[in-house]
Amino acid sequence: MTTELPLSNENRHDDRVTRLRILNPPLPTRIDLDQDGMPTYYRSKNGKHLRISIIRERWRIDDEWWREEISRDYFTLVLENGMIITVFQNLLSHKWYSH
Amino acid sequence: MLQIRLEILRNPNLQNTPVVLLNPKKINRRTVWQCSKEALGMGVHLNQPVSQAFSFCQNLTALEPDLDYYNSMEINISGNLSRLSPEIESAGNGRFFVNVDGLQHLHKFGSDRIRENVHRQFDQFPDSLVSCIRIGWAKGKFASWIAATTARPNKPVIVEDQKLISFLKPSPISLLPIDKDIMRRLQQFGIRTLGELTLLPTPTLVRQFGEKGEIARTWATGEKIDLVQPNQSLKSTRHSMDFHTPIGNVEILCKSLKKLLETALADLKHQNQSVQGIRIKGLWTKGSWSLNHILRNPSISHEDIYRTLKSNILVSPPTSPIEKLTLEFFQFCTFELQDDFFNHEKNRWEVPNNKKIAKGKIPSSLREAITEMKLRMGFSPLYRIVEIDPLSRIPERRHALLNIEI
Repeated sequence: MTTELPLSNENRHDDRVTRLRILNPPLPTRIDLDQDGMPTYYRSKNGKHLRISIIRERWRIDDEWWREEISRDYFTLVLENGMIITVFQNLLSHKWYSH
Repeated sequence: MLQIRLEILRNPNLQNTPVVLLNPKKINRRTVWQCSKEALGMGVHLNQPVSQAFSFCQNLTALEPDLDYYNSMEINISGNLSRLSPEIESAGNGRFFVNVDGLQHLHKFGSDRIRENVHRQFDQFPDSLVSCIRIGWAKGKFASWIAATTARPNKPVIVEDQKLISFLKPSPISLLPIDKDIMRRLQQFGIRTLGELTLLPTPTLVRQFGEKGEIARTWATGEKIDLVQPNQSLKSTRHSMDFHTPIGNVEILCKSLKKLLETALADLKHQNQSVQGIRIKGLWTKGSWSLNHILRNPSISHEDIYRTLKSNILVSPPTSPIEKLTLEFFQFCTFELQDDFFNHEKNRWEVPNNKKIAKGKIPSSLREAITEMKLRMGFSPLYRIVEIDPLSRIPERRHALLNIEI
């Protein structure tokens, strides 16, 4: 994952050198999909399985193909408890991440 | 068929008459979503086109489903059951799972005791609804659901742990929560009951159906226990207003909402909270209307919230004059918005005696803390938030944390 990110997000020792850390880095997450590949359930960090009430927004990013290619399918989701989250699927590794 | 029962509950004239609810998902070609047993007896069945249903039964009553009413009743039922246990899962279609693990002293085994306990929670519901509750008690949701389907209204089925396997054996495999394809193939093999499925050797099942075959077997033997996954209970506050004369005019409705919002927000301000989830409900004698809105950021601003709600009402106004208007807040927030971190005017560092510090200058107390941490740990984990590329389409590139250097 660090290869995707331009800013250093290594351990604390490196922070002392680089001084710059990512705010709001993407973290691996689990998303259940329906037959059409649309998100239906979100598994939160504490293991709760939350239904996705609304897909508010969807956009795709294909960028930086000339160096480390970025290809992501982003979703802004409203969960059943009202929480709004932004998740994306890395279309190269097919893994899901949340912000 | 909870929804049909709720409709009959609201309109007792429909009792003992053939009634169907129309499928809310199929707007163009209307089909039967649910039907009463009287309608079933006259040849009406689920997913049948309504025109065909009418040809079978000419005195049929077809109703548009009122999903908001059903949802609010489900929340009501769930709330009543939560007096038995805090862990309630509403599984839809009138099914509720209650986790009573560890509460054996309160709800002792014995069919009468369980029935009494459950029925007591529904004392404000009409008898016609309470009398049709079917109760199953077993380990795990799957077994308790089978127990409930075999129970009769006043006879709960209680399955003790040691009798679980023998209880599951005669149940049909159609109850298994597995793929239709696997189900069809199992039926082709002549397997009809869970007991027959358990007789098949595991390697054979795995060879035929892979991992799913093994899972089906563990359901059938009672080895797989699915726990109750409680629905998140949303704490909510409600404010309502009754109208002696039903209100059909949207402008008057908005003015009433404005008034209601003032009271509700005043209460909220008092508790030092802001709101994010808002629901407006309108009730009339035989129907209801509701609007849900999730604010992008929690807010306490009367003007902002009112403007948003008003535009929502203008887009989808109530279909009938309203007799009661309810405003419900269901998601709250006590902390400041993240956006405020970047509002430099608002968030300038302040020292205890309220003297503002110039932008970019570090207060002496913080300076001392950083020095102390550097001495003790060799580094300081204190950062400022800096803008990198605020308009970037990649969220993690918009802002970064920068070490505070002194």
